[in-house]
Amino acid sequence: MIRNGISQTLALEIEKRTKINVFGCYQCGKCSAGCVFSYLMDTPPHLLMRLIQLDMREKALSSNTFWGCGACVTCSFRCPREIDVLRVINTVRSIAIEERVLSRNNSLKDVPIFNEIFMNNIIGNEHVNEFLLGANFNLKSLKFFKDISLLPVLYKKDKLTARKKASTRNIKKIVEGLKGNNGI
Amino acid sequence: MRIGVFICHCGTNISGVVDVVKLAESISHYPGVVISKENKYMCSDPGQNLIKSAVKEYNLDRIVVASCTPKLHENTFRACLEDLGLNPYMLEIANIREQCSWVHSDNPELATKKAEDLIKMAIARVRFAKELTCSKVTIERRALVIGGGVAGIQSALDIANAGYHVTLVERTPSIGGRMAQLDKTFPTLDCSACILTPKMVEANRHHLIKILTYSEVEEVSGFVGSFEVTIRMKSRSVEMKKCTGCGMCQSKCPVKVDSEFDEGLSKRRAIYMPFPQAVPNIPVIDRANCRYFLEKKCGVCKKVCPSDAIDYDQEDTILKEKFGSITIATGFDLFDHSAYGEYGYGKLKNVITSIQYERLVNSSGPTGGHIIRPSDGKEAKKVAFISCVGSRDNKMGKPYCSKVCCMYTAKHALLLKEHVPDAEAYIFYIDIRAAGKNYEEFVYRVQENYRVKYIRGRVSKIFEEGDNLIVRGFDTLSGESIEMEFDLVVLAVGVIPRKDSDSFARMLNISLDANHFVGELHPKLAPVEKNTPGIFLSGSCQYPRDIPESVAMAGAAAVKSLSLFAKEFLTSEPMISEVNTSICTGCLNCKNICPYRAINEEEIKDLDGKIRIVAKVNETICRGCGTCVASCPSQCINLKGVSNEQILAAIEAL
Ligand SMILES: Cc1cc2nc3c(=O)[nH]c(=O)nc-3n(C[C@H](O)[C@H](O)[C@H](O)COP(=O)(O)OP(=O)(O)OC[C@H]3O[C@@H](n4cnc5c(N)ncnc54)[C@H](O)[C@@H]3O)c2cc1C
Ligand code: SF4
Ligand code: SF4
Ligand code: SF4
Ligand code: SF4
Repeated sequence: MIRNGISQTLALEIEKRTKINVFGCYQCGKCSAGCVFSYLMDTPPHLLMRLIQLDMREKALSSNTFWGCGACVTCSFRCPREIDVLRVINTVRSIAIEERVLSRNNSLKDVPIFNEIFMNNIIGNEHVNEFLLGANFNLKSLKFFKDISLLPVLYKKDKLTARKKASTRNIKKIVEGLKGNNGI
Repeated sequence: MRIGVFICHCGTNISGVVDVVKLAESISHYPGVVISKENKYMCSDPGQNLIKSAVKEYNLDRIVVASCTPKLHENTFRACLEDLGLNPYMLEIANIREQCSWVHSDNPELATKKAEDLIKMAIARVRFAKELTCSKVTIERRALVIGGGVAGIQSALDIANAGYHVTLVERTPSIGGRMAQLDKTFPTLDCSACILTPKMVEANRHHLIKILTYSEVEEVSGFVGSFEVTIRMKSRSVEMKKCTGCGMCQSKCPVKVDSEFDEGLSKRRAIYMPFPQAVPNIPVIDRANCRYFLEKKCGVCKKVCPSDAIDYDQEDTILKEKFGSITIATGFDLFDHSAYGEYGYGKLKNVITSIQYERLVNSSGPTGGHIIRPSDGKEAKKVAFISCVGSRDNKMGKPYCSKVCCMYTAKHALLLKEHVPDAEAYIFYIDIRAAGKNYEEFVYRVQENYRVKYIRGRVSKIFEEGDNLIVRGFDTLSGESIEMEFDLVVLAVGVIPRKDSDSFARMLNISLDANHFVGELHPKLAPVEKNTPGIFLSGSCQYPRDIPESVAMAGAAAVKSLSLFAKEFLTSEPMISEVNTSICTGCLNCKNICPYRAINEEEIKDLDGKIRIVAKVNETICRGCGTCVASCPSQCINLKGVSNEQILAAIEAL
C-alpha cells in the first residue's frame, strides 16, 4: 500500500546513470507487447517502468525482468515515447548486482549465477572456456550432473583444453567501462 | 512642456517590491515634471480620475504612467487622455511590473532604482511625443471562406444569413469534406449524409453564397477590410450552365481509377462526380487520367452528353476579388500508416484505415454496407480496432492526441456489432478519451451492451498468417500477453495537418503551430482568430476537432467577420513608419526588407526640377514593426510614436 507519498530515488539514480527520464513512459504497454521473453518475466518491461515511477525499489530490483530479457532491443525500438527501455532494464540489473539483491522469483534463479560465472570467465581468460564455465555453473547451481553427457562431445571437439591466456588487462578495462548501466 | 507622472502600486504587485512613495517624491523634482503621484490601482476609476483631475488642475499636456505592460492598459490610459481632449498618443508607459517588480523581488532597493530609471526613460520619450491621428479605412463587406467541409459551409451560411456576400472556395469537385464520407456519427448515431446534405443544398441555393468548387486560392495581398485575392477555378471541362447532372458521361467513360471518395475501395471514371449527392451536381474531367487528354482518343463523353456540356478546350478561370475577411476552414489529412514497419508498412491487405472502414459500413458505400475484407471479400467476423496510430507517438513526430479517434473507434465497433451481430470486436487502446457531451455514456454502451472487448495496451506487431492477421499486444491491466488472430484490422489513423499547410501558410502570410496546424492567436481567449487581423479559423484546420466543435467554431468565426462588417470603417494604426523624402537616397533597402510588403517606390520632383526615386510607405499595410527603420543607412525612415530621437533621448536619460 502506498501511504506516505512517492519519492523518486530510483528514477533519479537511473537518470544520473543514463540521462533517461522514466516519467516519459505513459504505460502504453507496447514494450511488453513486443517482448518475446515477457512470458518469462514476473514483471514485464512496462511494469518495471511503473515500479520505477512509483519508486518501489525493492520490487524493481528483485524482479526477474532483467534476467529474462534477451537484449533484443525491440522494446526500445518501438517505444512511442522514445524511451530506451532496454537501457533502463540493464541499469536496474547493474544496480541489483551492485547491491546484491536477489530475485524474489525462483524461476530464473540460475540466470544470475550463470551471468556471474560467465563474466568472471571472460574477465579472467579473455574468452569463454566451456569446461570451466560448465563445471562452475554446475557447482554453484547445485546441478552437479547437468549436461554431463556432453563431455565426450566437447572433448572430441577439443573444447575442454584451456586456451592460451591473452592479456586480460584490456578486457578488464572494457568491462569496467561498461559497468553501471549495461547490466554488468 | 508640462509632464505628469503617475505611479501604480498594482495592489502590492509593484509596491511590495518597489518603494513607490519614495519614487513619486524623487521623480517630482525631475525637470519638466509638474506633478508626480502614486495610487493603489491606476487602471481603476479612482486612478483614472486622479489623472483627469491632475491634467485639469496643472494643465498637463503629456503624461507618463508607470505600471504594468502597455499590452494590458495602454488603451485604457489613451482613452483617458482622449476623454480630456488631449491627443491619446501624448502618453508613455513605463513597465515597472513585468520588467521590474516581478523579476527583481529579491532586491527591493535595486528594483526601486531600476524603476526610477525606467520612468526617467519614459519621461525622455514623452518629451518628443507628437500628436498622431488615425486614418479611416473602408471595409469590403464580403467574406471569403476557404474550404467547403462542414465547418466552411457553416461559416458561409452564418455570414450569409446575416446579409453579407460570401465566396466559398473548395478544392475538390464538391463541397462536403470528410463528413460526406462518414457513415453514422457519434454519439447520437445520426447518419452523416442525412444531416450534412441539407446544409450543402442550403449553401448552394443561398443567394448570397457563391460556391467555387474545383478551385483554389492562389494569392492573397492587402489587409483586414480589403484583402485582394486571386482564385483559380480549374477547368472542369464541363460547362456548368449546360450540364444537367444526368450522369450519362460517367456511365460511359471507359477509364477507371481509384475513387478518392471511397478511399480506393471502389473505382471512379475519368469524368466523375465524387459522390451522388455532390454539390454542385456537375462532373469534372480528371485530365491526368482522361484518354482524350492523354492520347487525343475516345471523346465518348462528348458524344453521349445529351446537353452538349463537355468542353475539352475549357481553360482555367482566374478571378481577382476583394474581401473584408478570410475564414480558413481547410480541415485535416490523415496519418499515413505505412510509416509503421511493425504494422506492415501499409502493405498488409486486410489492414485498413478508419476512413476506409467508414466507407465499408456505409450502406451507399462501395460494398453496400457489408463489412468485408479486401483480400477475399469474406465477411469480417473478428475485427481488431487499434487506436492512436500516428497519434501520441513522439517517434512519428506526432506527440498530440487526435481527439476524435477514441470516439469513432467506439462507434466503429458498435457498427460492426449492428451489421454482423455474431462478430467479435476488440479495441486496443491506451486511454479512452471521451470528454464530450454524452461521449462517456456512449463508450459505456459499447462496452456494456455491445460487449466490445477493450484491451488496454498498444499493439506491437501485426503480421499475416495466410489471409488472416495476427495481432501481438499486451493487456497491461491483467499483465497478459495477447496474440490473437483476426479477419480484419482497422487502424485509427491520426488527424494531421493538411499536407500543403506550409505553402498554404506562406501564401496567406500566417504562422502555423508546432504541429503545423493553423494555430490560433491565443489558445484561450482568441481560439478562432489568427495573428493577422481579419483572418479567422473554422473547424479542424486549427487542431483535431469533431463535428460539434467544428460547427461551433464555424459560428464563432462567422461572428468575427460579422462584427468586422458591422463597423462603419476601420481605423488604421498611426504608429507606422514614415519616410523623410528630402534625405531618402532611394536605395530601397527598406522595400526589400519589409515583411508586410508595405513599401513601394515613388518618383518625386526635387526643388530644382529633377526627378528622383524615394521610398513610400503604404499606410494601410504598414504594421509598425520597425524593421525598415533599422535597415535605412541614411536614417531617413522613422517610426511614428517610437522615433529615433525618442529612443536616443531615452538612452541619454540613463
Ligand atoms: C474516420 C473518421 C470518423 C469520424 N467520425 C466522426 C463522428 O462520428 N462524429 C464526429 O463528430 N466527428 C467525426 N469525425 C471528425 C469529422 O470528420 C471532422 O470533425 C469534420 O470533418 C471536420 O470538418 P472540417 O470542415 O473542419 O474539415 P474537412 O471535413 O476536412 O473539410 C475541409 C475541406 O476543405 C477543403 N480544402 C482543404 N484545403 C483547401 C484549400 N487549400 N483550398 C480549398 N479547399 C481546401 C477540403 O477539400 C475539404 O473539403 C471523424 C473523422 C474521421 C477521420
Ligand atoms: S513502450 Fe515506452 S511508453 Fe510504452 S509502456 Fe513501454 S516504456 Fe512505457
Ligand atoms: S530487449 Fe529485453 S525487454 Fe526489451 S523486448 Fe527484448 S527481451 Fe524484451
Ligand atoms: S474523353 Fe475522357 S472523360 Fe470522356 S469518356 Fe473518354 S476518357 Fe472518359
Ligand atoms: S483520441 Fe484516443 S485514439 Fe485518438 S489519439 Fe487520442 S487517445 Fe489515441
